Amino acid sequence: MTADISPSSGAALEVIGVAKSFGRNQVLHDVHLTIAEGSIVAVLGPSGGGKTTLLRIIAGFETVDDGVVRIGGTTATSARLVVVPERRRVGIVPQEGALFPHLDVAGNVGFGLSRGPQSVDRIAEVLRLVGLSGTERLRPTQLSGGQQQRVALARALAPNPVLIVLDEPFASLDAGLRTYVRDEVFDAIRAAGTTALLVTHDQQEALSMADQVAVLLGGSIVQSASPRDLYAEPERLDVATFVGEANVIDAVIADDRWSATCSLGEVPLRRQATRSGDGQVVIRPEQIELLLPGDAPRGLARGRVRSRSFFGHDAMVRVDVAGRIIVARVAVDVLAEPGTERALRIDGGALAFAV
Amino acid sequence: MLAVIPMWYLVDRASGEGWGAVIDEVWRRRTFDLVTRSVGLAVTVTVICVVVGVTAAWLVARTDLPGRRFIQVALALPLAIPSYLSAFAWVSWRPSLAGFGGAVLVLVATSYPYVYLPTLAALRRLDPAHEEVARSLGRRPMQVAVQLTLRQLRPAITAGALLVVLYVLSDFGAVATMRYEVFTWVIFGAYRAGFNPSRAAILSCVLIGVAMIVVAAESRARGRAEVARIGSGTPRTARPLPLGPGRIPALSFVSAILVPAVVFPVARILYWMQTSESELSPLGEVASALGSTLALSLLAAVAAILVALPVGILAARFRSMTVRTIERSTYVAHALPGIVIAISLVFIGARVVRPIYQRTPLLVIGYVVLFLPLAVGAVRTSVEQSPIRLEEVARSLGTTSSGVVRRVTAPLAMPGIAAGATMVFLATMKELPATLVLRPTGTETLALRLWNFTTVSDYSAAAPYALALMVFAAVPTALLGGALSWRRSS
Repeated sequence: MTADISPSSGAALEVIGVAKSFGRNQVLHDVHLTIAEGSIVAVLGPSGGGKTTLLRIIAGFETVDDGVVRIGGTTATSARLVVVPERRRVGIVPQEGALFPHLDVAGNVGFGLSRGPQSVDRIAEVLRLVGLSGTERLRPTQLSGGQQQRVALARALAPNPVLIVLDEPFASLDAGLRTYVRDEVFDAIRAAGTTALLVTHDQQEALSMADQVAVLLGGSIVQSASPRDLYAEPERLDVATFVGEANVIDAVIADDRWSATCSLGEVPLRRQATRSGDGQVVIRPEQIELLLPGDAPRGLARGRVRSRSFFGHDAMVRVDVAGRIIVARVAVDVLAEPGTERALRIDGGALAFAV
Repeated sequence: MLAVIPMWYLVDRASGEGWGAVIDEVWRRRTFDLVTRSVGLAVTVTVICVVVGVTAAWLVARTDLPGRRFIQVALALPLAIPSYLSAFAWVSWRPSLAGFGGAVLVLVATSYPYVYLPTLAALRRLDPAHEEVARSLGRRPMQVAVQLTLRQLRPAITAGALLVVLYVLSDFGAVATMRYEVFTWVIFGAYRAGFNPSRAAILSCVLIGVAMIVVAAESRARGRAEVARIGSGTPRTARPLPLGPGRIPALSFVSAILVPAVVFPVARILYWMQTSESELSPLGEVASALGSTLALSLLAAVAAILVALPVGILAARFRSMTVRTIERSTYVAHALPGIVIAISLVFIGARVVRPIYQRTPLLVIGYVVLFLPLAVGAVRTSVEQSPIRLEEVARSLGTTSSGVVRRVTAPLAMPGIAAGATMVFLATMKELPATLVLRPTGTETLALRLWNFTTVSDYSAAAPYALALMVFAAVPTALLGGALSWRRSS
């Protein structure tokens, strides 16, 4: 489907050392990102962190101060050159879908195709891909929010783009619909074999949908890894706390850098720390097991249950250990009434970061 | 370019007798008096128009006023009545009305729709959720209307008020009929007398200066008011506010507008028709004048839109200095009396573009220069409302920037473009002085016939032309007024 990519490259998108400022405000600096052909990559970052600016640079709506963007092996943006958006073959799916209100579904999907009998076939083909066959004659106002979003995807896919970029595409959908539409959209992208870049602030969305997640913090990509590695092996403390929930506890790292001592006692480390001495350990809530004080082995830290939030499939329990709140994710049948005392056991190793 | 031609001519003409003469003329006591009178009239009329137009729009859009669907359209009808016709109707009934009071009455009655229509359109677009939030925060309905709604309407109101100011400054028919001596009348006199063209040119330059100040003040007042909606979904229709016993004063208010603005002039024309002593004009003559009026108006509307599209799109999308200057220059030209524009085009026509002198193209160019702001304003507002994101999507799908204008921006702005074209069409139907000077030999329009008969007080002979003009102008006007109600459902 992406036959015109130069075979030497293999990467649909390469962002190399990109920097961008608006006036005195530096939004991006030294951003590096590579997307292999056919894969789905999420750029995960907090709101206002420059994600949308990066996306607009890739699509050709913003210039760069420094660095290079290569699409399908050809330079599309550098400090000196900007290929106009219409010649980049980058399809965009904006936040609100942004369907053309004056055109029906077929008119929207066929917008980027040259007119002719092939375009009718192609429109039907991509509509089938997004599960909306037979909606050609409907107006955008007759579609639900989720359907609009899928038509927007079909519209971006129709001209066989080298890359499609999705800007928080599910943010405006309600929670129930979001998961469903998300699955449908990414199934369609995978079925089309198209390379995709998803920009989002929702870590669950990024972790569940992408082959690779790039974390954009403080204006640059601080870590890019598979969802599993990113969650289990964050390279920095800010990545650890941004991706998933985490207990961050002051600790002293042992001289061999393979264990640390904190208010929960001595914990083994999953990865050797960079330095010994003062630092912090990161423990995920699901690593903490709550035991009745009577059943617990000696030497475990104890705390008093402060509160408990019920989520259906599991529950979060906040335990006060020596004046610090530790959060544990427990199965719903684990008894943890507020006010009762519990012992805390840590499953698996922690991660330590020197200060 | 088109808008600047008259100014080039004026400066050339004004400086013809040396700069000393120019300065003497400008500093004359009489010039100062004229400025005071013109500005006084413009300010009075505009203030009343804003009060009348905004109140009427609010009553129609946000209350349960009885018969508001009909009233909404009826309130737009004065656009179909030329100011000089309305002025004749009053003066022929009570000659004592002539003067400042009469001029104010007629100008308010014919130009308040310039405020009413954009305000009504803006009210329809406002998201009632803002008002609901304000109510839930403890504000009473009237407080919400004043503190919140009025503020959000400010761009629409100031844009409308600008059109009223410029209209009053450039109107000739009404002030001449009401014998109220302002700039336009004196300029016209100077031209007609033919012995002092440079004095007229100098006075025109002063008038342009006043207009420039007004245009600059409007763009400051409009400010950077952002009325964009944030968030998803379409705005709901606002729930009408129950008037209760207030409906009697509300209906009286509407009648107090409609009777002098619409009912009285129509009644006078019907009365003239009925009491006609002389033979009524032959139907054939009326029909041929009607035909050329419609043809000219259509040409002017199409030409004005073709020119307004690029200017309006640029003005909406890029706020650079150059673009702003272009946009404003079109407004300034609007403040010039039709006669000034006409004469300056005669000057150009006779020297530069001789082949089209006293031909239809030059007349149409004159109309375009006169009425371009109507079209530019309508195009700009509707382009500003279509999200820029849609244009970006179109670019990313491989469409060039000119293709985006053709396939996305223009179709989305269609309601605004249609409204702008209708306004130019209406204005051209009623236009008098430029038509008088620039018309191709032998061409008669309804307005020309009407003017010729009424200046010799042959009202009954004028009546059929007045009726034809009003009926055929009322149709697009009603469409314009009615369009604002279906816009919310589409």
